[in-house]
Amino acid sequence: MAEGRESNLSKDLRYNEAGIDTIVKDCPGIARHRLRLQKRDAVLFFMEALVSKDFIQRDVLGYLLSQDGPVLRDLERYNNVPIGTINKLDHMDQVIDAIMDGQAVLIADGVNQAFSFKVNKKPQRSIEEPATEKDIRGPHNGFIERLEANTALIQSYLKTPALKMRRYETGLRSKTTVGVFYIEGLANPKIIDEFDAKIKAVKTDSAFSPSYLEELIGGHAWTTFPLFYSTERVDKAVAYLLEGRLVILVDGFPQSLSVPSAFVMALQTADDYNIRAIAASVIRLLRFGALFISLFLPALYIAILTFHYETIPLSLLIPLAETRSKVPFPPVVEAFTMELIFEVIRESGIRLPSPIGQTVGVVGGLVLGQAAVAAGIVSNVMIIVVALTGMANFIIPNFEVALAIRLVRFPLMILAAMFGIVGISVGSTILFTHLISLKSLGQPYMIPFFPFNLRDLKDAFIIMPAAIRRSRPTLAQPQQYRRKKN
Amino acid sequence: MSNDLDSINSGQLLTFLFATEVGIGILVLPRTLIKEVGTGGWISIIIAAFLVGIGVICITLLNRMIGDSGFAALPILLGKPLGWVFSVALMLYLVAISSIVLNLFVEVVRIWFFPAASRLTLMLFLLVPSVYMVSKGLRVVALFDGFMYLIMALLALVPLHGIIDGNILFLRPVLQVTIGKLTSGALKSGVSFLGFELLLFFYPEILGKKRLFLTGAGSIAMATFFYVGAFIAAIALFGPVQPAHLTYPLLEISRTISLPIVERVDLLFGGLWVTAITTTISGFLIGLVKAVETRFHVRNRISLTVISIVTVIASLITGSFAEAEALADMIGIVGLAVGVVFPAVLLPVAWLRKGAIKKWHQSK
Repeated sequence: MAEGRESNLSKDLRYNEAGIDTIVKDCPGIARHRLRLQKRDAVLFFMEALVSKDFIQRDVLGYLLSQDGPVLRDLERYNNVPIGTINKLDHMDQVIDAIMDGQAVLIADGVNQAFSFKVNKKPQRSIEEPATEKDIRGPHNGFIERLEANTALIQSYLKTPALKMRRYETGLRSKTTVGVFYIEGLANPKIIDEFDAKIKAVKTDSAFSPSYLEELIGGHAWTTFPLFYSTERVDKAVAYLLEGRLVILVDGFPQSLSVPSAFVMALQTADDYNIRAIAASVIRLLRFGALFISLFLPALYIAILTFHYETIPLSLLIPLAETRSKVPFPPVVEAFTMELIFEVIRESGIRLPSPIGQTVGVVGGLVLGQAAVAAGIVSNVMIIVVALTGMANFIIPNFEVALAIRLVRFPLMILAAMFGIVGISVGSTILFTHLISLKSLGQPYMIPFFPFNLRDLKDAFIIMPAAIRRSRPTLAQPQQYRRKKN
Repeated sequence: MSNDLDSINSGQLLTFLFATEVGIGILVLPRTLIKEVGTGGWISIIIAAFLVGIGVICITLLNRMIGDSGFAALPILLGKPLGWVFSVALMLYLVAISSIVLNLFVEVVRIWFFPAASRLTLMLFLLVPSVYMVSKGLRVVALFDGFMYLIMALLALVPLHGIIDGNILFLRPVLQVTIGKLTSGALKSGVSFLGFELLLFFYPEILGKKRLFLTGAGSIAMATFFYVGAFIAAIALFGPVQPAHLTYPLLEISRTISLPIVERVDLLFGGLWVTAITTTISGFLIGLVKAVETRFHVRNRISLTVISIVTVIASLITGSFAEAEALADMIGIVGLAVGVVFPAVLLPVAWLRKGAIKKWHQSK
């Protein structure tokens, strides 16, 4: 019997085979093909579902069994084998890893080495526009679940040898392949090295998703705000690369992460750069307004109706009081009830198939809202406040930031119910302090506001025309700040 | 060595000092000065600004001569026993000023928003953001203080409204004030500039050391601008006598403003002002944290918790609003002594103890 995964391969085929059998016992889909090769017994191991049988039949077996086939020991160096990658393996763990990766592994009697052939054929879907990041203008292609395909997509936009990729394997069990892309000469080497050190320091069972990786590398475990922004859009990822950031792609996931990231990026979309700057600026300002509404409107409603109703002009106060007089609950209970109903409708809509989800949203929103008002549980104004808050939250382009804002809204509502506008001030102070203290791979998350950076304001609240917006954002500390040479 | 999370540049230092200086004073100062000096109170503010400017010069020179903060070098300059006595005294001063600002803060919030609220509840609640900010380090405090520019730009609308809607001629007669009254007014104004003396506690953390004086002077100039504006607005809108009988003249001005969609703008301004005071308290608290760190070599959550509890207890001991206001006048004089007289006295001592300072640096 083989000694274990770390042991060297033996010259005895049966010994090696037994070793592999012990480790892959009960593993699904492992096939073996016995053959006679140069007067030796040999076995070819592979995962049935992950390899191309055409490649194996035509390019591997066909060539190995031919009269002019290579000498086994020199297989790796032999140029005539019509397979792109052949690796020589010396240890049992290398053999197992190669089989699990979807490669075909050849073991022969009398040879204490194995050879792996890259004949993977992982299932992949077609390239489509990401469902959560639709844009009106610009390209409609998004990343898919295959790293190789995603690499090709990036390369199709950046036809330069300066585009580099570092490949990492993370997760002791999941062996997830992570590709880190950057543009040499633009990306800051210190940031690359810092990321390199951090990803190498990840010691975990499985780091198979980008979000998981972000949590492990990004730090700030107790924040709800994403420190590495994810996108499925290829054009956005390419734009981030051109700003000197790193783009991380994980094999098996269509989401890419851009590092470092800033809060303001949550309010930027690819469309902003595909339309005229003035129109884009107006829409950007609308998003900032939506962010404010989404965060503060319910809290302000509670604070004003509970403590500061004298701020409302008399002409508005009377009809407001009339609608409120039918509601037996204080504003905070009313607001929480309606917000929770809204969140329930939203969550149920997401989990259902899209036609049913839409129906649930419409029926739930209209019927429940109308019924709640008729039953005297909430007032008409509250429905407007909650609907406006919910719609405003949808305007925030980044899903994770929108989610964080949704979560933060509730403590603010509680503080408003307890201390009115003072509570909102205290809550906001804590929130902004938290945001200011955040760092994305050592870079300030709230740039260009905190610390203030005039140059980066060209693409913050508003977006300046491309002719003026010639410098890259300072966040990633790119090696070349100016986009064009004068 | 300074912690990297604590290092701040000149711009951040300017913001930090300005945010610490401007707080309660902008509400209280017009009344105090009109009572003390009359319509010439604005001259007292300018005199006070020059006075604290001298303090900034002394602290800058002292820190430069020492190559560290004046506070850190106290045992070297004054000898161990005396150095420790003054260190403890300075720490007690910071506790006192933090607690008095907190107390006055709570009182204003009670008057403005919650007349029936418990003092202790409000104290604890209003201290939370400052303590959280301080727990994140000097740089985060200084960065957050950047909000002060936005807040002050909005709050400046209140005195601007007073000046536009009022009669600026109420300031006449100009210069018909005795030197004695002006001096007394300047000393009373001094409390509104407190915060500049924090330069005595920070030096290794400051990146733009060459611009230390300009930064300190800049923060005083900005604070002076707002104080003078608030004073002129109070006189212009309410006349030369009435502001002396208003607890917070600026608050009363804000109550006269109404917009088509917001009837009581003062409540919204109140919310902004709460954030402004939070920055003032966090400024003094981080000074205290730095002092404790320098002297006792501890910086952790426990020390910050102890400092916060001590501040709350000291605020409760301070007593009623009237007592707190009386103590504020007293602490204003102490603050000027700490920020102006103390560094001025230490300067020649530092010059005489050059050798000891050099040895101290070598031993570090």
